[in-house]
Amino acid sequence: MVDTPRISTPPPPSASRPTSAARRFIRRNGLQLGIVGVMVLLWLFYLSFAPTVFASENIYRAFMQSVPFFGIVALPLTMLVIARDIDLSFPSIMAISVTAFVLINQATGSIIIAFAACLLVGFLVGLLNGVIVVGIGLPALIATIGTQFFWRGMVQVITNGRSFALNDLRGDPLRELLVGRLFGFVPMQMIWMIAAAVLVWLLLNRHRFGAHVYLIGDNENSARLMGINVGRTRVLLFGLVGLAAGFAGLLTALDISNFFTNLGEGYLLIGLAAVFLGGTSVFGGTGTVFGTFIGCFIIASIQPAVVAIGWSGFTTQVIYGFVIVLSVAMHTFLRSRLRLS
Amino acid sequence: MESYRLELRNVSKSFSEVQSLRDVNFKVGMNEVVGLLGDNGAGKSTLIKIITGYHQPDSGTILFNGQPVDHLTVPKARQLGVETVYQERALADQQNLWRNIFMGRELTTRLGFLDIKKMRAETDRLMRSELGFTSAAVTPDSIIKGFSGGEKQGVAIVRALYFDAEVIILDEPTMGLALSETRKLLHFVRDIKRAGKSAIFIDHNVFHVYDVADRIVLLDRGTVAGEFRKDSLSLNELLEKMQHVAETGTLD
Amino acid sequence: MRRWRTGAILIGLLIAAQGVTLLGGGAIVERVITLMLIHVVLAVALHIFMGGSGVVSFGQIAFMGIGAYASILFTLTERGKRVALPNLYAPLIDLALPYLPALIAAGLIAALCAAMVGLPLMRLSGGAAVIATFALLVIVNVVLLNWNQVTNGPRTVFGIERLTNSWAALGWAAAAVIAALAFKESRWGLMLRASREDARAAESIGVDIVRMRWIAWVISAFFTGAAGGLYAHFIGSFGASAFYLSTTFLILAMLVIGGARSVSGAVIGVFTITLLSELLRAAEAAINVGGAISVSGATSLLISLLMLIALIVRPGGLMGGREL
Repeated sequence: MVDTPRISTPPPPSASRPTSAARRFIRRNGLQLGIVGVMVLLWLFYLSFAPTVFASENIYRAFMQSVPFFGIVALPLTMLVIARDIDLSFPSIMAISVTAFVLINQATGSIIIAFAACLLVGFLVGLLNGVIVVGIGLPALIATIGTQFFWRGMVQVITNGRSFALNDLRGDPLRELLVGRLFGFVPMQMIWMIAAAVLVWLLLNRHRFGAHVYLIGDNENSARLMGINVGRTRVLLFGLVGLAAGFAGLLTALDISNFFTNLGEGYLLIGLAAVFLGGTSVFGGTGTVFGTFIGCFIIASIQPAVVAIGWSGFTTQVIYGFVIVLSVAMHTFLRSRLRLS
Repeated sequence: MESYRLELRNVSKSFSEVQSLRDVNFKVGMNEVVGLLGDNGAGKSTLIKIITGYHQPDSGTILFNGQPVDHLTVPKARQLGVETVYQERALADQQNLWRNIFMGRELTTRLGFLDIKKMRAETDRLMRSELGFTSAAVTPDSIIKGFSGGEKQGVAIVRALYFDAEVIILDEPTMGLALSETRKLLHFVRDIKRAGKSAIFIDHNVFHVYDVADRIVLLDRGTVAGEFRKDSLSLNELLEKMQHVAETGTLD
Repeated sequence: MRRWRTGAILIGLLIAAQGVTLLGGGAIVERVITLMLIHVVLAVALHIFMGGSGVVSFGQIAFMGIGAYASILFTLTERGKRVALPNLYAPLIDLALPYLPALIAAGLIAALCAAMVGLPLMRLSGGAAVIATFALLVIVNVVLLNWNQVTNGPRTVFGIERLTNSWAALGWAAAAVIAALAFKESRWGLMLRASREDARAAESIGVDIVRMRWIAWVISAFFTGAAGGLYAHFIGSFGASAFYLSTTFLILAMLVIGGARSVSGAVIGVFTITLLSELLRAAEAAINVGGAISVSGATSLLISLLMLIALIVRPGGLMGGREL
């Protein structure tokens, strides 16, 4: 296709862009400011409608305890979505990694070796997703829904549907480090989620890897022409999501001292919803770690709020669904607007 | 033997059934601007993508400075000083200026961490000295989506220049540009020559090519149909030859 | 004329499958065949949307759920409703239709829902569409799980008369195949397929992609809803969880393995998967009587593996877009 030659000289860049430092800050961080605004508004709403629940510290402790179970996966998942890929198999990766943990722990009696095996299995299964999607070129959505069922089936076959009590790990230093309580109050998994957020933020915003992630999601062809190793970056992203899923899966199992074969199943929707609510576009190229981090807590706050306010519990799931639809629709709208301008 | 900056010997390339290039010999001398002319589908793009390492030829040899290079890849071609300003400009629209300038070649400190300060400063310098962006509204952090076609082309060219290229390939750089911007661009091509570098200039517009090239290569249906030094041939003669090639497929 | 030949071959295949039940094997074989034919309706319906538009939908099974619950509102007797759906809205208690009209009504209700949600949804494409259809599945599932007055919440609905036999399923499967073939070669179907190959070119010659997609989406929902009704009257008792991710995945896998771009692919995919899972079941029964291996786990392993292999080795599925 041939571009129509431009007849008129385009105006110099200075002509139509008045700005100030404050406006520039708002424009550059608009989405992040927006999501903080949403969070504050919601919080005020909760406080006025369900003061007994939201004025007590218990609810915040509950958030810190349960949000990291999916939040730790949502963080690297954000990078993957920015690179215009997706992974629907992370709930199953959580389960297969913990299966590895349980089996190795039983076989060796060493929680450290089992921990390493758990992370390794998560990472490798994630890499395998990457190889299937990138190397073979299958659409990520189809391929990872396939691997989601594959690994879930594998977990069921290996464990034969049994659950495993992990009570005897109570008091183990590693368990304390992963899901204990800091100063007797702060759940350690929250510390891990903050650590994961900092790591992912550094990787995405301050490292060459992250620069490539943005470029690939924005314009894969350009990235390839400019010599970026697109395939390796994408495969590695899948691996990182897998690694995080393995870690988060273990936190989940250790926290409740039990491993069920359907571990992780409820996290698919809220994990994705947190990413999209956080302002990451399904079309790739944009998105922030900060947005996802806040998004995780907003998503998690919906259920207790709905219950506390006295609506029926099922409203929660409907809201999750609408969050996804709305953020997808918003990005579609923004894109069509931007293309026209 | 005369030494060339870049030489292709008997290079062929086909995509599944379609033979895109057949036994092509092509060279670029030291400090020489070579104009490449040919219709759509003549194989210009394939030739360029082989030189930049994006495609590997089926047969034939590629030499840089007289040395054969096996399995040329994009990073290897870059290392050898090949820089390309692509037709599609190879920019990422939703990213800011400095990320585009340093795309794939980010400046880093230890462990691959970005040296954002330095990249911003360099971008700022390039913007003012080369791109002519003087407004306070455009900063290294400006998203390039709002830039005009010419501005984007400028970014792509300045990027090539910044990385100290030996051979700069310009793939239809005047496409979609306003007249004044085209003039600026041709001026830049002459700057390449003045700076002692080589260039390959591809364009539909024979006038632009004749204007800046030292030597002109005519591609037709995947083969080199003719090769002329500009000083041995007037513009009218060139036009006649091109017409003849288009009609008969051969020079004579 | 090719269309008639394809239709004849496919319906012949369906009848041949039905013929198996006549050869003997009793109730078990008939149940396998009936379920397979219901799956044919679902896979062909999914093909009508996916094969034409090239947009993957995770949401179709939501319409199966809607159809299933809608159909029993018509066929359950008043007494049956008081037991199975104790909180039902009073006006719905007297609702009654015979079996076949009830299935058609179920399909129409599903199609109506699809028509409404399709208005915004069909504007999306690619990844956004898949995510949004997935969200639709979730939303509908949650509504089904919690709409006490209509679905009796998360509890299993029971006491449904088992009216669906292999003949009824055969009839619907044949109807779906004919509808799919007719749609594929119709003006709308051709325009939709043109848009799949090259959206911009199709738009430039005046094809309203969103509208074409929407039409395919609604037709697809009609058959999916009817299949929900078939399933409800086949299984006799069910809960909302029957219409969620695993069924979505099963049908999607069948379609992908057979080849999403042709009606024959949908049919062949269902046949292949059914045959293989039955063989697996038989093998398991032979190998371990004690039940040392999780059957559902092994089945989902096998199906997902087959789907991935099909995608890798034959991205177009077994049929590769061709019709028989």
